Amino acid sequence: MKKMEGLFLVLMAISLVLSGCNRTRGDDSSGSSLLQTMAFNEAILVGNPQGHPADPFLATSGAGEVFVSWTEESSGEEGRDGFIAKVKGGGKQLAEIRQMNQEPISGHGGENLAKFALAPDGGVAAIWSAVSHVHHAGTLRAVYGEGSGPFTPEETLNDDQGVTNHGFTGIATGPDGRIYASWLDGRNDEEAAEVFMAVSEDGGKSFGKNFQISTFACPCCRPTIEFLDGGETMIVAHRRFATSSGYIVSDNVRNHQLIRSTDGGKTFSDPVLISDDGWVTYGCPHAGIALDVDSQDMIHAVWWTGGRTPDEAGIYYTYSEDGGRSFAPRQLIVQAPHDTVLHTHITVDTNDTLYASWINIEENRPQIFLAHRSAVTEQWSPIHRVSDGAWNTVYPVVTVDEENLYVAWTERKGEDSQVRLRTAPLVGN
Amino acid sequence: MRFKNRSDLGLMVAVFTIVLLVGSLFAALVQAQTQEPETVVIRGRVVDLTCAVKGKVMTEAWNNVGQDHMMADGNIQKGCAAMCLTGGHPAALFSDNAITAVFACNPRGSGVSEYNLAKYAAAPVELQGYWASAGVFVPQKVRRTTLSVEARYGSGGWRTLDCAIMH
Repeated sequence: MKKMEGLFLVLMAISLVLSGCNRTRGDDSSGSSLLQTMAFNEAILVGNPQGHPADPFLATSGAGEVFVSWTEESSGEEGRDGFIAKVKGGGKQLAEIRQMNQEPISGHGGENLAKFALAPDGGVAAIWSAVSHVHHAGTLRAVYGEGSGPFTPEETLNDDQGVTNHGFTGIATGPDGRIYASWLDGRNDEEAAEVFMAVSEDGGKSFGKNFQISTFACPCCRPTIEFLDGGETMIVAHRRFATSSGYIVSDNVRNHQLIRSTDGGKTFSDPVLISDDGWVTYGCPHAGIALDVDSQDMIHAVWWTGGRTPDEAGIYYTYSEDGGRSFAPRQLIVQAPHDTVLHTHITVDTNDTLYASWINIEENRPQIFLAHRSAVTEQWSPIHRVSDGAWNTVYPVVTVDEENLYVAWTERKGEDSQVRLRTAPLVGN
Repeated sequence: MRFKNRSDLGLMVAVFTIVLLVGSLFAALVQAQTQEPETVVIRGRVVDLTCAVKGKVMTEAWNNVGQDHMMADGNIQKGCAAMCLTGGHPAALFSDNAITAVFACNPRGSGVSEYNLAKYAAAPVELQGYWASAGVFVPQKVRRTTLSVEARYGSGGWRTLDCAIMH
């Protein structure tokens, strides 16, 4: 009998422990995104290492296929070649690698990297800056690749034929299948960039007339395009610039602002300030804002600012719940150096979990970091370092499919460079 | 050797002294020319010296150390600093509410870049170079105080300046 009592007590104890474990898991699941850490796969190298790959860009098609583009040293005398591939096996391999260009691509990369958008029919529209021998001047080139076929020869996207600045692009596919390209353009005042746009009605095979959508743009900070209301509303964010060339006031404050269009880009609203950071700088900071929109049409934005004072510098987050008419007060994700311009990129999964990647400096080296924000708890996860710290790492880009988060970036060591890609199961999967 | 009088002796001493002095100065000059000057980095804002000082005299404050400058008639000239430096005005460095260096030259950039000192008008910068004499600085390289991460951890963001290529 004593043996039975002993066995009963042991079973009770085990039961209590297990129930406690269950309760803990249950509590965690209510805030799972907060505590769930990301389990990243080993990074893979993208491209031919002999070509010193750099400047990756990622996008996911409507069918859920993930594509990565990058550039390598050109087989010609100057510039770089651009490539695109499908990412297979949950990020473990690349397939259907295609060269996109026939003429050399500008080697500047970075904020001015080659980008692409995916058409609903599987086509790929890519844009980039061509090699230029005139400082701060160049043309934008566009190509189209059908399915897994070859790309068309380059066509010039800017229609002004001018020798002035065209670059720092954003490109996105609208829910209606149109592809919208946006860029910074100096045709009206080479000292003060304006934001221009062109629309492709045929899934990227060709682009229409250029039109100005905003003035007073920071001259080296990429614009970003997103869509709301099932495509009824388009939003474009860019960093405002105040030049002293007589163009506008000379305060040199570089805040991000957002404009909205409800007629397919024919007209845009007055700009709305995303955050009044008050950061003043001179020259070209090369830092646009990262935007994405979740299934509830909530706009998420993550960016770096130098702040009004050095201790304000950091990576910040805000959101808009009214379609970009106003934004919540910014939230600091992490502090960062005030004198080194850093870069961010974000994406949202189907559960509306926001994934933000950025560069920060750790052990005197730029590294890639990532955190996610739960739509349920509205809390940020702990910050995860994605790069391994051996090389200087820059310009992270992220995308998601149904199962995984994909992060790619450029690593540099002296004259050498390489592109790495890592994946992790989405939180909650 | 005997001197006829004291004045001969004095003349001899004076000549000897002058020879010694000239010799030592010449040696110092040769040494100065053959030795590498000490390279230093100074920080501040690139200003047009003429406009900055005129503004200080007119308004009793450093009001003309930005891009836009107040004219004698009270009007504001937009982009004055860049315009004047491009035109070849003397350049200087402004920091801690004072002119802390007068540049020995207002150079154009060399190499493939079109950058020159005027491109940095009114901007906070770091300048690498050496002191030619008290207050006179020879700029050899320039970079903005705020740099992209690629520049800071790659090339360093420095642009070469060459006093031989002046406005």
